[in-house]
Amino acid sequence: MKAGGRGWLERSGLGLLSPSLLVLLAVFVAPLLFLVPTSLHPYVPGQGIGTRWTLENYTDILGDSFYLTIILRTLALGLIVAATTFVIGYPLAYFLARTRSRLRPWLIILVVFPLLLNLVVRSFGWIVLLANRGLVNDWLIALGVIEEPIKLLFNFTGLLIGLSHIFLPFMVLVLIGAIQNIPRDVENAALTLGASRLEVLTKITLPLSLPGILSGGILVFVLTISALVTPRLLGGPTYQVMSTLIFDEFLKVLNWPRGAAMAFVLTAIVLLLVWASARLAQRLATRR
Amino acid sequence: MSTLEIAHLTKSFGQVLAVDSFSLRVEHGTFVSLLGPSGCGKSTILRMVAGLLEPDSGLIRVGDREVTWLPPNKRKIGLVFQSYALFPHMSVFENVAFGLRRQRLDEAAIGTRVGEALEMVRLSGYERRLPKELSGGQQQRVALARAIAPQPSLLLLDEPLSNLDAKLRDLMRFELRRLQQELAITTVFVTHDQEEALTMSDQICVLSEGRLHQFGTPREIYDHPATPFVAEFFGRSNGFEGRIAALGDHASVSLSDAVALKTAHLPEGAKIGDAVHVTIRQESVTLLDPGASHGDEGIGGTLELVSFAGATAQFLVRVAGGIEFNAETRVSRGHALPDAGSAVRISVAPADVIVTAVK
Amino acid sequence: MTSKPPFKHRLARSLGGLGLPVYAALALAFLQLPVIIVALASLTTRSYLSVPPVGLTLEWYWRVLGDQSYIDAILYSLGLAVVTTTISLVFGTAAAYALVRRKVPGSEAISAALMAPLVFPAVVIAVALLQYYTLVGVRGTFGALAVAHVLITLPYVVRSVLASIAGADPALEEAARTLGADAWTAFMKTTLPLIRPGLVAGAIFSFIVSFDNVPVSIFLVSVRQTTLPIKIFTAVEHGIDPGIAAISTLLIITTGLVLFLAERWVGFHRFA
Repeated sequence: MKAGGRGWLERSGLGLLSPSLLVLLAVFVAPLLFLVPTSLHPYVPGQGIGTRWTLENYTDILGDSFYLTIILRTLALGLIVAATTFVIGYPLAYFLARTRSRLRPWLIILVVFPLLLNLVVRSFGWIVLLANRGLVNDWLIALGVIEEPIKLLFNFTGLLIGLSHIFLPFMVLVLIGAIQNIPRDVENAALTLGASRLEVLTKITLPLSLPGILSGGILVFVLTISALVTPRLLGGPTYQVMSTLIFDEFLKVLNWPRGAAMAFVLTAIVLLLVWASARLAQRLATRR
Repeated sequence: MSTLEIAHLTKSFGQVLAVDSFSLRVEHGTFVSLLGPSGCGKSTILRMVAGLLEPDSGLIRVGDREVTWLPPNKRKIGLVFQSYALFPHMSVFENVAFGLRRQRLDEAAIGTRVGEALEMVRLSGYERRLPKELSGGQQQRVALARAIAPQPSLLLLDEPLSNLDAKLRDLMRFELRRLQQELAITTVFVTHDQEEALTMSDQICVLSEGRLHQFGTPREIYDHPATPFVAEFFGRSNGFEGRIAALGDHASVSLSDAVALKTAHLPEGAKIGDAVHVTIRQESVTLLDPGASHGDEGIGGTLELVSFAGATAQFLVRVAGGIEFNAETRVSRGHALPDAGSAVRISVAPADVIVTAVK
Repeated sequence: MTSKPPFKHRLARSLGGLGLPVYAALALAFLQLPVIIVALASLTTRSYLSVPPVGLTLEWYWRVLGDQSYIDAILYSLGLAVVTTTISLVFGTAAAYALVRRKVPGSEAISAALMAPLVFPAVVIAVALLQYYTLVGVRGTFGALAVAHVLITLPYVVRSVLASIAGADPALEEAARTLGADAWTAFMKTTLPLIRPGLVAGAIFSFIVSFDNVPVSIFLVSVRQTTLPIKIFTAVEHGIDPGIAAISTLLIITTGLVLFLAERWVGFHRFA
């Protein structure tokens, strides 16, 4: 029977899958399960995690205006960054999807390059640009647009600019795929039927790239609300979002129970969105 | 009245000359095919007429309006794409209504016109379906209805039948032709299928490598091809280099010192000794009955290959000087075929010896 | 009879046709903006950041490269990325192969699970691992960090290999088997060469993701030994100077070079 067992492992592919699945179980599923009870115990200052079972970590977060502000700020940031990357990214993606230029692969590499470049380095570039005595303020003052430097760092504006830049490549790559799936002749057909370029865009191209817009938007939203490095560097220690708060609870305040609860709130939002987008994509797919 | 007039249309892609000073005049209400192998420039011409491609130079006129440099949405030309290019997110009704909405018609008029167009292609009752819920043939008819609904002055068809299976293709040929005649709409049809072009067109325009080879009725093109290319494009044929051997009533061409054929037509202005191209369709080559005596009628040779293909059989006959003829004949049931290696005689009627000038 | 495009038409056409390419060029430039700024800032002779640089010097590069703590961090990051990529490549390729070529029960759920670390908030994975590693007692060890990196790089390898394995005809392996090759030889001689572009792309993704990672590593590194991006991260938090710009520029050049070679070698843009 041993040979039969090995044969089954081999045929079903589970033998080949098992190393990856073991990694997944050992350092993904198990740690998350162990974190659940942590979020259900109280934090006792000076001692660490108490033994009592409680929901107060969750009720504290969802009932306290300090935390609620941060959660809402994070979600607003996700929404606005997703919208911004869509608006900036769509024309670029359209160009890259439709161009017949021989340079096209290299232009796409120019989109991928910032994506693969170290996050810290990119955020650092934005600090240089957005600081009070940074380039953007220098230029604006030199051009006479403003007289005093405006605050572009450690606030919503700074995070919005930095995160939009950092997640723009994701949006563009998803959109390129979606637009490439629309046959050129479908747009041409609309043109020969008398539609203007604008009508082709609003009645044909945009509706047909809707699945891509949705998945790109959800991807950027999820990445934005989970981002840690850029918000910490551009927002500083005081302008917090959910992930920087989790970071501080675990490494600075050492209130692990509250950090764990916050982590699960963030996870719940992300999973809800991913699930909803999958459902939506399915609906769109069956409609077509 | 909408004629289509194309003059000296030229287009190149990089170093490749795709269309070379092409001129054509399509009379009102006629059905003209652009016929040629893939890459002959026929689709490029169609796209330039539709405005989807810009020519390098030349002139395109529809009726008395020059449209050469107009964008496609200002041309009022209906185009049926090879891929149909239906709008996948819109119902059949909305697909057909698309062009009408661009003309800012009111809702009632749109409803009537869509209904008429769908009835014409026999798809009434399918208004609320989505394109993906239709068969290939039905999609094709929606594409047609969508193109004719705005009542364009010109209808362009880009290989619309090539994605259908053989049976449906035959049916759609007649449907298309019927529709075109009902509407009396000037139509340009692009195809690489000779049979399609022959059965459907008032006139055919044969193209190769971006150049016009011949423009005429199907009968003219088939019976009197103007160039070697046109002669060999139709059917399976034998092609030979030859010289004119005699003129007048006894006109003949020699294929070699030993082989000469009588012909009914010579190119205009032909002189004895001119190099010509000789085309003989395979079905025009007759294998004479070996039992009867023929004297020196026909040409003697050896049967090299025999292959039985059901209703027909193919023969390869080698005659004097090593010249080879391919022949195709109908096979009568129960009738024995000659054996390979046997001596045979072949003949070709003078009317079937097609002689074209070599440039 | 013939007509050349009228001048008005040519003008309108070339201006109208220019809008999108010009926009695309600007957007692509915007994407490279911080990169250019950082590179420029690294060349200044001043002790604070100034763009455009005041004078030109490579002094900051020598200073950073002469700093043993930076060298240690670079070596640590390189070691981590190499170990991570090797393991990920083997595990991920086997998994992708099984998903495509074997009848895996619940294969859709399994591939979704393998991709999960890609969208799951990294910071949540990190804090869960922080607690878990503390409990198990391996927090701060190289091995523990490497396994965590394998988890976050696996999706990239699986995705790239899946993309190229779908295009390799399974009949080739069967043909090799009928010619007497054992299963392993058949795979190595037929499928492996065909999926090489996917392997290269997956390896590059994996290496870069591991080398650059901050959000997971920062919770798991020991106090004594840190990775390069974390060292830069901490340095930026304490205040920016041209030295950070210099080390960042080195990273920019390396990443750019790797990407350039990858595009020339396997057409990397197809895997993005």
